[in-house]
Amino acid sequence: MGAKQPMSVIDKAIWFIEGNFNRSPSLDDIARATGVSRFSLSRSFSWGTGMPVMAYLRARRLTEAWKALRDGAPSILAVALEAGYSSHEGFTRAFRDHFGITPDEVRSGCGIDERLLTEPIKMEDWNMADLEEPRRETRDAFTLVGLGGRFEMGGGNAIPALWQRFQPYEGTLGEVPGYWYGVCGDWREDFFYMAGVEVKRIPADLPPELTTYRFPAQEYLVFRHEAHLSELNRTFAAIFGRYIPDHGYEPVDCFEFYDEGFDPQTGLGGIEIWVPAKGKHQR
Amino acid sequence: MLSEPRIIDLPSRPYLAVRRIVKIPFGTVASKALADVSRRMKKRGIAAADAPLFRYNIIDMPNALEVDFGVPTEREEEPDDLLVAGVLPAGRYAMLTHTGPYRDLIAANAALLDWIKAEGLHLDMHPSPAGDVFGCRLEIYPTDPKIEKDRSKWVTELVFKLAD
Repeated sequence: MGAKQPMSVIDKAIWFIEGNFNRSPSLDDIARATGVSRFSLSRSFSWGTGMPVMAYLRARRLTEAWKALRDGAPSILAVALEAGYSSHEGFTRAFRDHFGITPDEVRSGCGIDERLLTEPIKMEDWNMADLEEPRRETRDAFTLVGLGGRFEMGGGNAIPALWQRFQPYEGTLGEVPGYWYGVCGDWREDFFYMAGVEVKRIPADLPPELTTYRFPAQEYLVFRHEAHLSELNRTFAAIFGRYIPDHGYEPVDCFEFYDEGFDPQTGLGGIEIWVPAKGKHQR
Repeated sequence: MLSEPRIIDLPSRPYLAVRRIVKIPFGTVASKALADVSRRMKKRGIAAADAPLFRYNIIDMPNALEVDFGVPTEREEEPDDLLVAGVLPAGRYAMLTHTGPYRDLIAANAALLDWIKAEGLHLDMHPSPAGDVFGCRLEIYPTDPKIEKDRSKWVTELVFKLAD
């Protein structure tokens, strides 16, 4: 029998949610149970599963409630209680928002779009790449300018379009040539992404649609992604869903680093993901 | 011990409460909810204007009930992430006072419901898929069991709003 891997933060979170969703746990409760901060949990879970943790909790509660109602549960209130709701109105509103029909309509035999159901995420469902141990690099402060926006988790197809929109600005910003940066951060239900380049000085005539981002001097963990760019999500999932929480780091804003070895036409050539090495002391 | 039931007119009264879906027996849900209300009101600098009450919003016996565990306030207050803010509606209520242990309250409730029926009166209540929805069905607890240890002296007022 092979050695069993220790439970990751996401394993712990899912295990805790499955055992406690009728108690309506808060993000803080789940974070406490997993031993990381609420921000760390939030980001790790999103990257690891493609779903924000509280959205997963809500979807699991409502899925189990739907099953109970479909199976003929006699009491809507009792189902609401089991799903962790404290009022009939709150339960009905959440149920209708999620499935588009009321609990009573389910009892009356109305169907739902079953793609809206959420079953417990299993470890094998996670789409994580295998990671090499990152190298450590220290880098001076630097400034990026680029096009930024907010994107939904799993909605990565919008990011190539952002790079395309940024292309006309390249060569006009006085940038350091031959390097491109994709800044990722401010993870909430969605996250911030900026396609940009490094500048030594912010151009005085910076177009208003462009934004700036400054990284301070700090130490980084540098992960290498060698596979096709379309598989970058799997590397991010492994970094933020497993490596960062399991090694006691905080998932702070990071950047993808593209150099001339990367071919944007083929999506091959490899890139690096630079993650500030923050929070190690909190282990 | 039960008083004679009677009909009273009550003005509207605001209250703050924690809303919970519960099963019978309540266990520690009620005392914990009232403690939560008290703590939050203290933090917000709001004083209780009267004795604690349970407002039964929806009853689906024997499965579950939706109850507001709260206290009246002098004026209408804002709800927050814990407390719901409600108003006990003005109107005609059937009332009965029970003196004794809380375990006898089921019988006291039955006595008041029987009296209402015998008098040809109707509760402010309508059925719904979730259970019977009440206009205002209250249990008011003027006695603090932490102070009055003798259960035979515990007073509970049952106050049920009647249909107009």
